[in-house]
Amino acid sequence: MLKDSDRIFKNLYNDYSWEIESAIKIGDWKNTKEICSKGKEWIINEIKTSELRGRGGAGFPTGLKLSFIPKEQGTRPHYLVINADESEPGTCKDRDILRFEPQKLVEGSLITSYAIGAHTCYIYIRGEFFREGERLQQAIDEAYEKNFIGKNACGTGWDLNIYLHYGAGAYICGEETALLESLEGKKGLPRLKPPFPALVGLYGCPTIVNNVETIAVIPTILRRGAKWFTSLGRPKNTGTKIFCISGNVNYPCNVEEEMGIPLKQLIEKHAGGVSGGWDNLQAVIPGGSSMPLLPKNICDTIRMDFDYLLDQKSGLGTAAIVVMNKDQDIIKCMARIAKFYKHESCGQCTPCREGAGWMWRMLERMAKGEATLKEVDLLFDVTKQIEGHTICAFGEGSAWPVQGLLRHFRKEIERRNSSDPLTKRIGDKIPYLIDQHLLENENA
Amino acid sequence: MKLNRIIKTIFLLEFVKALAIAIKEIFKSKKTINYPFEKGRISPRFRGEHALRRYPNGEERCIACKLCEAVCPAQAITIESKPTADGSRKTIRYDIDMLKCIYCGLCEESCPVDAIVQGPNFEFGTETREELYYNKEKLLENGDKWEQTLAENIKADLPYR
Amino acid sequence: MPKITVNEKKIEFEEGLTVLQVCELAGAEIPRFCYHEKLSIAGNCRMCLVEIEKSPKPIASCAMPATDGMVVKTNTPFVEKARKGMMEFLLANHPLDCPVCDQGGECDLQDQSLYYGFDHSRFTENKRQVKEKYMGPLIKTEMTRCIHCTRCIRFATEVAGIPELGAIGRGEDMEITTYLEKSMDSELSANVIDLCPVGALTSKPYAFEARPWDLKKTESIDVMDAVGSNIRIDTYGWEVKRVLPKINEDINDEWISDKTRYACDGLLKQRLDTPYIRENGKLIQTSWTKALKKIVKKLNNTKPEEIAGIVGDLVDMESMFIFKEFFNKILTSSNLECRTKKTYLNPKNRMNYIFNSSINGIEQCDLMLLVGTNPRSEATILNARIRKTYVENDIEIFSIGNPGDLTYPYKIIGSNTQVLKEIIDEKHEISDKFKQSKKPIVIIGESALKNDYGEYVFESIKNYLIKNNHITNEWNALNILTQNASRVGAVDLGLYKLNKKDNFPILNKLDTNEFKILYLLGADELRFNKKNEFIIYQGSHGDLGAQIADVILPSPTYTEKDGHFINLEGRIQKAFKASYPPGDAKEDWDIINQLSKALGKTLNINSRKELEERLINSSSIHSKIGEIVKSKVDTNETQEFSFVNSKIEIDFVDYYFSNHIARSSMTMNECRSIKNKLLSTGTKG
Repeated sequence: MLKDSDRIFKNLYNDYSWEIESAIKIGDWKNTKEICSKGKEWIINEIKTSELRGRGGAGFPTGLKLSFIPKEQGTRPHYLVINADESEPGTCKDRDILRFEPQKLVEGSLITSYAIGAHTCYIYIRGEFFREGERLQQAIDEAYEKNFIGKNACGTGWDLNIYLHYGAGAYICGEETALLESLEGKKGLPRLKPPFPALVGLYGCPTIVNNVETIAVIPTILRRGAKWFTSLGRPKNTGTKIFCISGNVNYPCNVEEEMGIPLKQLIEKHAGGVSGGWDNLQAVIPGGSSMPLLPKNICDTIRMDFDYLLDQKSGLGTAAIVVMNKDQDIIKCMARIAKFYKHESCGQCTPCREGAGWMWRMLERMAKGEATLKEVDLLFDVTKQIEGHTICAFGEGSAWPVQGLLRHFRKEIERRNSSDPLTKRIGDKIPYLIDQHLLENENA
Repeated sequence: MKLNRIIKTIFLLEFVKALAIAIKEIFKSKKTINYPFEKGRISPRFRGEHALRRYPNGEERCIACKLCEAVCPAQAITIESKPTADGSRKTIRYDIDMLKCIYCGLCEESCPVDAIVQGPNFEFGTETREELYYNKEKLLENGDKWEQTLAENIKADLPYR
Repeated sequence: MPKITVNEKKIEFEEGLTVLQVCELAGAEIPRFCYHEKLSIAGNCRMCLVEIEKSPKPIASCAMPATDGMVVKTNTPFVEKARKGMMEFLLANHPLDCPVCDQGGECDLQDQSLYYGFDHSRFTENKRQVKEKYMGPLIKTEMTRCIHCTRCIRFATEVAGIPELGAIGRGEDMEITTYLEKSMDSELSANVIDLCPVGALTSKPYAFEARPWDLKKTESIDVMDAVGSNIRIDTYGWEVKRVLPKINEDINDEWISDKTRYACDGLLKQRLDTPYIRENGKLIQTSWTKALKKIVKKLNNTKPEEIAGIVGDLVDMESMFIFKEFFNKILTSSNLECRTKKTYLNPKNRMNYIFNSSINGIEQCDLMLLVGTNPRSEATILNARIRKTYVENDIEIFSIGNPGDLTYPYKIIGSNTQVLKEIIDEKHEISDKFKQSKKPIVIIGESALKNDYGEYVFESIKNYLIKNNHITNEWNALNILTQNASRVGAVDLGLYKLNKKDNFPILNKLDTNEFKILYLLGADELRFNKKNEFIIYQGSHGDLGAQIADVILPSPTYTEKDGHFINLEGRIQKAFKASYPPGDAKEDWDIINQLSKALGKTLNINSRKELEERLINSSSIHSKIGEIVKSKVDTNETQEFSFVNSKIEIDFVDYYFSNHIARSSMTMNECRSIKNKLLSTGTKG
């Protein structure tokens, strides 16, 4: 259980006001100049020792990422891009940061920009976050007024400009390279890697792309020291994290907790328990819609951190916990997620473009009990053919939830689809649709 | 031994046996048929005279894919194609030189739409060679004439394809 | 050199190659759809997956830069499985209508599904249907077949320079379109047909015409412009069904222009298949003997200096060679001309009438000046090369005269000879640039060499370049952009007449009707008022030349005979016979040979082979087929000239109608009317 004093986001529930005055009161913009004066190396090293991992989903060590940027600034400028395109179903942590803690983000972007040598910082915000964008813009304006950013920001001698850019509502633009494409004014299609954005990013210049939460926790880490941060959680999974709990719980909420907290404790303590009691739990998606779900027997014991969930063949992702109790039709739920991925696939590379729709259609049929047993294996094959063969991580994101379903609820699918009258009539040849060619032959 | 043979020779036993068989056969039903008036049963896979089939709505099946032309070992088929008014792919010429044809059935096998088929008809002898240069009209006419049998044959063969 | 291991075979490679290219070097074939050597890398078909050691996932080899010590495997079950999976996805929504698809037999998807496809489909859902899109009169679309490799988009934006193709929609619903469903406004548009790995974009005029295995393929040379693109002619019987590009890195890369590709239906129409003579103002069919007899009678009654021979645009070297022999030896006349417009010609040195920098050499240039030329319509492929250079090296391009949209930005610095004078007198801003430039290029079009100012334009530029040391044996910045396939060859053979005072005496005499007999060898572009001239037209099409002719002698076109052509760079190439001429038409050398026999004299040429040997032996230039013979630069050779103040106006080139074959083509006709409609509605530019 996290102590109140260890909380980073003190205003996560809007107990205070979001304005700059109040933010300063709860500790923002304190010692920013001193932190910066310790030098770029120190900042990056401190983040490295804090073992902070990216909060955007992949969990890549932030310190390592920052160190990839070229040490010496060449002719090309460096950029910091903050990914506020939070579109993962179930995830809503960045939204509350933008709403109630915008100054943390602004301060974080100053320190990070300073550390990587960027004079320009772009915040790519999800188009639907219109009000949040307005508030963030106000926060930026306030910071400009106080001269916390702008020319000679905070008296550090560093110039920084922050620009806000609204997305147009595509999920794929949350992928870092697609985000850069979109920011450049092109269609949001992920780029091929390598080269990585740290070397060739926005407008071909070295760019660091980070999640809102990652950037927002950096100032606090630097103020309180990496040691404090590592004292929370367990090695390589340190610090605190905002968990977004939604679904069949009594009180859905965003809550900041220590990494590695048991899932059961998290749900019972903060979300008021699963509706219908813990025994009524069917499954939990631990990390946003793109992570494989976990059934109740695993949920009983798991702790919420990156490596622990990886061992359970799932992932922490964005720490968006979607709880599904036994009232839910689990196949239908996954079919709905598959539909989301089918709709949001960018269409650039083959496996995801063709596979996502295929998976969705099969799942829809499975939910209705109109599929054949053979198709269960086919569905698994299809997910395997998508996974790892795509340009960006979207392929995994669309394949994993289905794999999770097949891993843990295969029996349920088989039970539902074994009694299909259509299947019985014509054997397992043609399950659902009438094949034109065969029909023709019959009439020939 | 010798005596046995002598008796057989004297009493013409072999002849009598043979005569008995012959007499027996007279009362059995006939093995031969009176060909032009009677016809034997033909396998549904019989490869006889060619025909081009139509769909029930009267549209030609052939889509001018030229697979039969390419596969024909005797190079007896000549096809030319053009788009029709509605933009579909159709033949403007479909000729089979029935004198070149070796009746191997590859054209029928290669056809993706069951358009060119070899029907049950084998009685298409003509007086001149020219009459055996079949063109599209002739083939379609064959198809129309034999459609019912052709469809039945294809259906009978369907499970084995 | 860095080393890489491909399937346990170690090879060295140059820095900067991708894994796919290195595998190719090592002899490991990698399937691909989206990757194309001449286009940027998209990496979206995922067919080229390979296994790279230390990587848990298969890697798309087309986009992966090869690094030292990499261990690549292309034939493991792991790779095979990944590729089979990709193929299943590609085929999932592909209609499999190969029997009605024109790409059938030459389709990448078909070929590769043979190795990586399943024998049956596991995809039982409804297949995706996409509405077909309108892309102009040349491109037939069947977008259901599209596998979204985006080659066409990349070609249009990168090579053709028209960002009119693109993808709309997302995921499954992604569609390739021209956005507004209008015709692609490019002279290179039809190359997307070759690029398309499936049958989504096919050729409209060739729709359902033939199958690739039906066609006889002949590699040959194009004559629609002076570039001399390498082509492959596909014939079915007599008919030329289509023309495709043949790769030649020095000339046309992998592209050909739309005119090269689609004027071929003009080879079937308006053809002259029998000799004609004019009687009472009407052309009537006749026999060869009668036609020749009539010519002989006329020739015998005319003085040699009253006979003139004009050579047209598409005539091969052999015909011109024997034509000249015929005029010089049998008619004892020297009135030969290859120019049909009054353009300045200085034939003293070979570098004065060819494109000296060479087409490939354009890529090295750092500054370009276009003088009175519109390369886009005069030499489309060359224009694509300029664009490529612009995109890669970001060179500065200036123009004298306004050529319109060239698909790349350029700056107009004026449109009269005054600007030229300023540059030469070093009063203009770009004079300095010329001084600093190491490899500049000046391209002089035929419009800049017109009439009275042509001499000044040419000689002054040449002098200026010599003075600035830009004409040396290493780099020659002086370039003439000729428009006709036969021009350079004709000048090489000496089919021109000029004197010190008058650069085009024959054309001037023609205007004053001083000739009694005109022998037109395929010349259709001649504009003059006919009075009492007796006109012999020897050619292939019933076009402008045949209209004014008194005797017509039918001859074959470039696809119907072997022949040599010299392109604008001065490169001699051989075109091969792909088809045969219709009716009674005879090859040009044969006609002239028979005519000389009818005149009672002989040229001592008994066969085509003999003629070809004599042509090749006539000059050292002609013996090196496919090569540019560089002539020695003579910087002392200069000529006096005087300033003429005049406006340089770029003549409009009716791109789709520039020669008699194109004028006879229905496809070109259609393209032209669509282009004119675009121009008149003002939706363009």
